Amino acid sequence: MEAIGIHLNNIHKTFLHRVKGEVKAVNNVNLNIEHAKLVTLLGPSGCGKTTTLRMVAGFEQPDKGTIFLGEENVTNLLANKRNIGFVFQNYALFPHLSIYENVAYGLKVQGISPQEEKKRVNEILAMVGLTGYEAQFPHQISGGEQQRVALARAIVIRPKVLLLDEPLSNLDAKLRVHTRSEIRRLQQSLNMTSIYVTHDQEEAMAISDRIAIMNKGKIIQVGSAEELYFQPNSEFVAKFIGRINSLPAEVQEADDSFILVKIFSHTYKISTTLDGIKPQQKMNVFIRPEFVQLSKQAEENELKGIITEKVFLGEKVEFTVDVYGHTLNITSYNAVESAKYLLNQEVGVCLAEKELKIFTEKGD
Amino acid sequence: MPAFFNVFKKKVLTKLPKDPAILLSIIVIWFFLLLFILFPLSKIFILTFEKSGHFTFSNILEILGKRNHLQAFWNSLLLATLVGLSGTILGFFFAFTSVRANLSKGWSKFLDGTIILPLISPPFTTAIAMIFSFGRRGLITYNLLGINTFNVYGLHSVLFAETITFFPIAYLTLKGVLAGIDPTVEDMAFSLGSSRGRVFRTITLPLAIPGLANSFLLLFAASLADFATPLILAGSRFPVLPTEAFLQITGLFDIRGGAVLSFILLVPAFSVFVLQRYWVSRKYYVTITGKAGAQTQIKSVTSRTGKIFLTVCILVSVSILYFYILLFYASIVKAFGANYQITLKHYTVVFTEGLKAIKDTLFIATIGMLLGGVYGVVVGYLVSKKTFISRSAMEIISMINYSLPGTIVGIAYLIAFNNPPIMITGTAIIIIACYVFRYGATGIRTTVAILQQIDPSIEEASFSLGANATTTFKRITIPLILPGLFSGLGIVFIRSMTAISATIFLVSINWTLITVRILDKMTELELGVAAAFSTLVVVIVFIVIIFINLFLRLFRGPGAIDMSNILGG
Repeated sequence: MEAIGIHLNNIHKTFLHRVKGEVKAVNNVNLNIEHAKLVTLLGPSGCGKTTTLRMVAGFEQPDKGTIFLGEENVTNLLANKRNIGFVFQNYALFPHLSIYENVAYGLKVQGISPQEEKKRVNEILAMVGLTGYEAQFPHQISGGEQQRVALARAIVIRPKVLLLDEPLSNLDAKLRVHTRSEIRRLQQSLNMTSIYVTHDQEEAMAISDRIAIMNKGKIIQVGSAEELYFQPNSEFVAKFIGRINSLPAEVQEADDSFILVKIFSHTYKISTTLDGIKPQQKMNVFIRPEFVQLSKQAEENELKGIITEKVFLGEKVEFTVDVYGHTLNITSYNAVESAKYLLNQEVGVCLAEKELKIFTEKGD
Repeated sequence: MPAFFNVFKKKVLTKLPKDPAILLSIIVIWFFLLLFILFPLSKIFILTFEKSGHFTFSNILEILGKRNHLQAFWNSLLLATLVGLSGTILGFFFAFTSVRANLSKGWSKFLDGTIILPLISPPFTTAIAMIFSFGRRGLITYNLLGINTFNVYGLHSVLFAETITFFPIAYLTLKGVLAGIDPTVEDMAFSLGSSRGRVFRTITLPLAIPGLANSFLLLFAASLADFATPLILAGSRFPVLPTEAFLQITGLFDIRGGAVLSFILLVPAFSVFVLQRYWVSRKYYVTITGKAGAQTQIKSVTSRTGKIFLTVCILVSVSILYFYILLFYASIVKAFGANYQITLKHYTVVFTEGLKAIKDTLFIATIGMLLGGVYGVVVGYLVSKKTFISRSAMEIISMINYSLPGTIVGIAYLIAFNNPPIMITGTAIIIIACYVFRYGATGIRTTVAILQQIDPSIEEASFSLGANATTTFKRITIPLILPGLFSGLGIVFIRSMTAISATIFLVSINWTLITVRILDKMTELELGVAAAFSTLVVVIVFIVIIFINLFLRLFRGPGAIDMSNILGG
């Protein structure tokens, strides 16, 4: 099977909502997916990720823009001509067909010989660990098994691309983790270019080559999990991937490569190349909880706070600290060190200067 | 022009389905809808409002000017209102007993079983049984009470017979409504200190009001459309619109007069249709609950009241059963009322002289069922699964013939297809077409209901695997709706077996129907033969229902037969 890329150019889609009127579900989306890569569309519900996926599948028509699968412009092609594999959130297994017939359906449509059909169905059922289930019906097997049938049915036709719409959301937590690595394994061993839709950031980080964060019909940022976590391009991405603290600050000096900001009693230097930041400007500065440290006594370059909450979670401890009336979340992975700090204790709070982030884009 | 064309392209062309098979079916369906629904109906309008090439109201005024006709209009409305009220009250009583009186399974089955009898019977059944019971030589009035002055003809008898015939519709509607009220809501009211009476008055009844209104309208429409009962029981002093229209055409050969009368009938029938469809059906309360509540003991009535209610229901059910036993009895005695010697001579008549009617009926009902089934599935599929321009128009128009009184449809067909370009009066085609486009609507409804339960992604899955619309329809949609469809087909068959109001205008020497023969035998006062024919229809219908239930059990498909669709018309 030869893997091909997927290219979305300036895709727009507007729906007519009964109450809200016209809703821009997808607003100028551009996305290029290299062959054999898995890209996840991640975002809150209603951000347009499923609509985007459905347009790639051909279930919806974009109002504007083009969709290419490899070299072929498929924008106006019917879904059944696109040669895609689609895994639905609710699996959409054919309830009146056995597991074997479900998986064989696409092959029968292609008019493949019975021997070849049998061979390929058995092969794929073995691959997803469902040998022996051929004669069963969808309602007779468990949710996890149904999920694997849906996957087998989608990939047995050797599609050009595999599209997965929240395929794990109906499974329980433990099975979810197991199945997602199964999907990743299959996707990599079969070299299938894939788009994966989810609203679960952990799932997205675990399974993807790259993640496209979507909000309100737009793609806000595309990148690897690490890029998105450490170099978010906007407040939205910073808040959506992981947790982050927001602190009020005032700009004191702005240069080409850095700015000086005052946060409560202290001044910090943040390297940035962002334009348009002027002295006296008020803005929010962000920092992830693991880059804030506690100390017994506030040193000269530290803020002062009071511990208002302490939650022991095993490998880590989470503190909530009140700093001049502002709530700051702090995560510590040092259990021995953390034991020293108690509720209502007055502490010093140290912000790792090079981890402070500022954004000019909100992302929503 | 180009600007206009661009608008046209954007508004119309882009909304046309891309799949040629779908596009073709839409065009074909529209052709048939125009030919067999809109065209005949337009003929009624034309005959009503046209006189020597001009628009006029004089036809209506002329007809309404006749005292008898005006009387018939008011009588129809009065009768429909009374039947609506009495049927709803009786239906609610039965439904409340069934849902809220902690009935044992056996009793509940017994009530359900007897109550469907009137729904699946040929139209004259109750009327004939009424005459056998309360007529001049009636079993109850004469033999039991010794009265021979009681007049069985008139409003009181029609009202009684129609209430018995149509209250099952109210029962089925209200049973659904009452069963949908979560008993925990009533529990809550009890826990706040309400008595049983107060809970009923302040909680149960208000929640059921939209259902009551709906039931009233359904019964109103059913009574308004009923042709058979008043024909037998109304007598000359209580004319109603459907029978007047019938007599105008068959007695006076005044087709225009019949058309105008049926137009006058159309006005209240259409108002009720609109009211029911766009107002009442949207007024239902949705009982808001979190998770499905725990099972709760229903405490709406004390066990003593429950027993009293059940007794009343059993009495009513028994009297329905009595009517049917009487009908059968009348079919096997020499002359009911005079000579009670057992004989099979009426059945001999049925299977010799009447054999043609039986064959014709079975033939027409079978063809009508098959074509009606195909039509129902295709239209149901299109209107519920496809978006195309004119979709909602198709949905509404396909329901017209089903919703209108049969008399109107029959007269419209008679007028429309009597002359070129399409002359099919006197053929089987006209009767079959009438059934297909009237009762095929139940096939549409069944299909729509089943399709709503099938997730759209199942079809999308088929597309994504490379199947086109035709393959998907054949391999996925049809197998999924087949069991439900089969029960829909059964309904078309049953209704074809028991219909008269429309087809009475369409039968001929070449093609006749059992129900029409029943009417003939009634007017010829050969009541024994009429009873034998009726018994035969009931038996055939029962066999069909048993067959459908067996099939459904075999395939465990969704959509058990919906009895509210089997309304003798």
